[in-house]
Amino acid sequence: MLIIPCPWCGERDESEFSYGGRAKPLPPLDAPANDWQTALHVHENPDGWHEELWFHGFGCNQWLVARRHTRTQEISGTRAPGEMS
Amino acid sequence: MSGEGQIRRLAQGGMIDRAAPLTFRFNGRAFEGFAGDTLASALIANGVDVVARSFKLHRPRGVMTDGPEEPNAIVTVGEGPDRTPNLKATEVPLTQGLVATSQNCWPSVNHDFGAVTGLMSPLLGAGFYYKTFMAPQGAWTIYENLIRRAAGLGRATEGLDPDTYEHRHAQCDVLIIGAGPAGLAAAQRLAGSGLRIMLCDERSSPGGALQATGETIGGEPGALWARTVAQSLDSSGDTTVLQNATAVWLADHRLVTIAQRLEGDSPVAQRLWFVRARHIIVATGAIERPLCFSGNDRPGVMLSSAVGAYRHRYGVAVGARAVVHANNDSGYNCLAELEAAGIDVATVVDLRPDARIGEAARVLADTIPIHADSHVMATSGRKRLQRVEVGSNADTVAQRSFDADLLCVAGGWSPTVHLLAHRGTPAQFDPDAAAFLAQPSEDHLDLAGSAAGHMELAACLESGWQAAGNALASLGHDATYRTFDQSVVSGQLPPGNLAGPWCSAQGVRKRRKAFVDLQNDVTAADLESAIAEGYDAVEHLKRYTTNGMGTDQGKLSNVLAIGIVAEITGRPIAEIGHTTFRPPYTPVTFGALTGPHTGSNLLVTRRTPFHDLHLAAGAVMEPAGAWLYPKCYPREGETIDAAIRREVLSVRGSVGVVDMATLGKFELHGPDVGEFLDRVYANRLSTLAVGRCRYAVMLREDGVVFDDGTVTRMADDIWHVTATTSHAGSVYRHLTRLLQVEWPELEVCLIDVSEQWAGLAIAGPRARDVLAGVVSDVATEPDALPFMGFRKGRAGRHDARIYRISFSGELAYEVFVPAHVAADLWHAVMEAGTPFDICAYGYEALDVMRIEKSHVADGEIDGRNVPGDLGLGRMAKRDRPFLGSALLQHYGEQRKRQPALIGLTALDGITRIPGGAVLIDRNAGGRKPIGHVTATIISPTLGKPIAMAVLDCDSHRTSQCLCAVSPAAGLEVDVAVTAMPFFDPAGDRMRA
Amino acid sequence: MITLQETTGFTAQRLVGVATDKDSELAGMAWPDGVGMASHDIDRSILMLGPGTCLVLDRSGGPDRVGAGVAKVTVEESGAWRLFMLEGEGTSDLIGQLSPADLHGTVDACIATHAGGHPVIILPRGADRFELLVVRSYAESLLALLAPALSHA
Repeated sequence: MLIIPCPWCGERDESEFSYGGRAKPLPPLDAPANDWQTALHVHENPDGWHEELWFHGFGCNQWLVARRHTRTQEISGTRAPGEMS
Repeated sequence: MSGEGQIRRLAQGGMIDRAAPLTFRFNGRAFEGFAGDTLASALIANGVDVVARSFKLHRPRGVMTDGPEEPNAIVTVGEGPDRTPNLKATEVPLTQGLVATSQNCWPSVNHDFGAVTGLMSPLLGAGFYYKTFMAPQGAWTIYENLIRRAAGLGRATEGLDPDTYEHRHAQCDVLIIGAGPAGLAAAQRLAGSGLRIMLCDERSSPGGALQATGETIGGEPGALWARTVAQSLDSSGDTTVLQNATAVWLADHRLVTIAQRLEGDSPVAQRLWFVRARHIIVATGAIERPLCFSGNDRPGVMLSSAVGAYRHRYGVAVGARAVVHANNDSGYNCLAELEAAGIDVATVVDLRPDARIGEAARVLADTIPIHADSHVMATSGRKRLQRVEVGSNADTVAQRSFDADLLCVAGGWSPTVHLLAHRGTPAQFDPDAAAFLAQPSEDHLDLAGSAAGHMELAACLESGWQAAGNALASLGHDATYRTFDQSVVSGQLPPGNLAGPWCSAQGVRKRRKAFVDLQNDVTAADLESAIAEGYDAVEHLKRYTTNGMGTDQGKLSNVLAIGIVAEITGRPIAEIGHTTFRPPYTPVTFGALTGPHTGSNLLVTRRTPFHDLHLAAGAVMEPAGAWLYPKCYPREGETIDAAIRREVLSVRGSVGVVDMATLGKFELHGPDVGEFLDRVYANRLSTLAVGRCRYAVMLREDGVVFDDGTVTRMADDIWHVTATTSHAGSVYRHLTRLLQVEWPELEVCLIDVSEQWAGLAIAGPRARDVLAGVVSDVATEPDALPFMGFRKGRAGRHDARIYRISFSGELAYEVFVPAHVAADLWHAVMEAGTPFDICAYGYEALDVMRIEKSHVADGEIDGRNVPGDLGLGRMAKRDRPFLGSALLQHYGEQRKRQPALIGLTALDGITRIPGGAVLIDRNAGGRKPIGHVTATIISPTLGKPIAMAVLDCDSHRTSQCLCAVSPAAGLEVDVAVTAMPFFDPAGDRMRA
Repeated sequence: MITLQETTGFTAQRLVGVATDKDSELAGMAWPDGVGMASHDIDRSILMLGPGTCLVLDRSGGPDRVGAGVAKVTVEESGAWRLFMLEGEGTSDLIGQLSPADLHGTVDACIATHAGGHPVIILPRGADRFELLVVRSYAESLLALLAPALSHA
């Protein structure tokens, strides 16, 4: 059970959030089918730091991007989706 | 078996309350003990030798330890619904009237028919589970019955657990696990710092190992020092001390789960704490190891540290005449305890050569003869140890034999590193310490005391002090160094100079009686044969032999086994490593894990604003996802089926009313909503006029249908969107993600309004008449409020939203008012509907009617179908992309065949088409499935069975010989394809 | 002894897209300091639930004092909530039975979280005194979950 530091609410228990997968933007709606296939089905599986999305459903109802280490589970920081990392 | 009265209770001493005698029953016999006893200490005091029978071989066993590492004394406590099996007698606090029984024996623990299995022990070696009962194949069902009866330890009760359990979330700055010397020293240093401190300990009072020895701190007994420190912590206000609280799991981000057992008069039996700490100090001590020699499992063989534990804690002498067997200096500490308890000591059998035995140990031995470089070769005495045979390590035959009813074994100490190992970093074997030591690999996590490998009391105290200093510094507090005054400490000998074989038994016959895991009856011979068969990796060895897989979770047997493997294979222990440690550290009862979430509180339940009104109207309420929702409203003497029929006929014949509150409802505000909806739905929505509604289908990114609903334009820039009950949450997440993450440039404000609007759908030919009697400030004539129209108005004193949409296929209006005045709407509708015999209907009738109109719902939207499969293909926009459009085309190309949604009737016109049935084509021969039934009813309106089904391939729809087959129900029904909708295909009724 | 009392007759409005700079105020009350904070006066509370989003609670059910133009979108939400006051010795422990939220030192906070899976907003109103705003459809289920603990308290 992780602690996720919500950019708006501060540190909260993981049970307040739902997971949104890797923080990869969706292709444009008119992008070719192959781009969509890749975006949906071809995933990197890094051993180390990566960025992922969480939704603070039992909280401020905001989506946030977290930088998490996939092995140690350490979360180095979070940001609003719009902000630069 | 047992003598009369408490023959082993010492006249004085112990932390028991001699002014509070208790009576209890064990295996039907009455005994006496005292408050403060455990069941084990009371049994020992009463001279009960045989407490249980071992799991596989049914060997008589006695108590071996004083703690959670106990492998032998597994009992069932309580009767009836209170019966709890598989408890360790060393962990059961004695209470007045306690009833306990042995397990795994029949007819009694002293005369157990199961003992005959012991005679078969050569056949029951490692891995016999995998080699036996293989043939003949058909005989397995016979074997299974026999094995079920023989297998298992205790028997669970079948009644509901009468106890109450709690969960508790807590947060603190520093959590100290263990209130032994190190933990208390750390807590002492942290007190007064202003930090929030929590201290938990598995025993009923603080002190840890200090309770079990004669060690002193500052000139006073360690146990007294502990009590004083704990009392001052309690009164300081910022330290919470939890006793009877075992930390069982150390999880990510310093979340610790603690299982706390509460005292007898508490209304709550156990409390499971979830403690989030900023810093954790693990001061969990160490557990002594036994030795592995032939005959090491008889009642009377005990850990050497148990002698002092039983004397100091319970005032009990664990035997009358002892032999001590050791491979390290700490084994000599028990000699003083034996003497103080009035137990004669015949000899010390030391595995080590003379030269290795420390001077301090010899001093403790005093006049007691030491047999160095020797081991115990055999023991005898079936229900209690009687004789110990000793020989030198060089010989194969015993040279001396001693009368003894107590054999104190000292095999070294293993730091309790389990919680750190839960974090995934294995402990490393330190040959000097002869122990596995853990290194915390994370910040804000520290070990202290014996858990960190410090085996002398002074070092434990100092290390606790240091750990507290580290905690202060890491949390940004002043940590001015103060040393702990070590001169005032008088401690026992640490386990120095450890040497000797891990298993001293030589030859197969002896090694078959040299137990490694006492609970599961795993011997050195078993380890040997498993290794010979190739299972020499520790994880394989554990599972093949079941070593370490009992309720004691290998606390005594793990390291012993690893040492023996090293001996057999010649590989160093450090290279062999240990098995993965998994939580919980000790068994946790399911009740504690469940906490308050049991019975009617098992799941979160949602109620609509009309809930009480449904009940008053006689509704049968059923769970629909998280919701409680009316199934139907049976009248006096009516069956469920009859009620559903009546409701459908009433709605189609006159008018009915149903609760619409469970749908997801979202408002969207802003100039870009039309564009947003065009991107998110397959159909065109931006062209929707104000005051109009449109059915809309939402796709997943891969083109599969995700959800459907109604989009309403309430004003130029104010829209309203619905989602199905089961997808409300996921649709909301989907939409917020698109707006916040993918397309933040769109000016759209999305608000979840599901809760604040309570709605009823009034449906049937007389619906307009009823509506007119309910709402005001709005024209309800067909041209004023057309089909798929929306208006605002009033219902009584309240604002109302009125949508003319229909799921049932009848003329229908959905009226919504603010949720806190829902009752007013219900009463108004019922009153206005009385002249038309209005009836309330539930989800069954709703489902019947939507099937008659072939509207798609969960059975059809099953995560596998694209719009074309469901007859909704023409809805999708062709002139612009939308979410899912890129792959829709692709999906169509990828699939070899185009599925189709079809309608079916039973050929005989009577038999209900089985639910979930698979479709086959009799003409095609064979029984290859070509589709499945998604929804089926006997239609009250049409008077015949109908069903919706998905065919894998559209071409099959012309087949003349379709059959619906349900192997689960054992039914086969011949069916014919028929046009949909089954009823009112032109949709005239809802457009009236 | 812990008591649970329901407050009825309140109004709640959700304001989205508000600008909460220090100089402005809402109907005579200062804006809360940030997301997760609240400002209170006698009957009214402003709860900052998210960036630019707040809930205005009026326990007296008084007239709508939020002027036009304060927020981009205003939505009536009185029906979405039920409001309870929990007070008595040990109330924090009671809430700790269900919610993982850290209530320590949270003066003037509004903590949107869950209690055993039920969405709630916790408003600390003093020592051992908490208001709970519970989403309406979950309220009875939450009360049933609290009942055994309340009977022991």
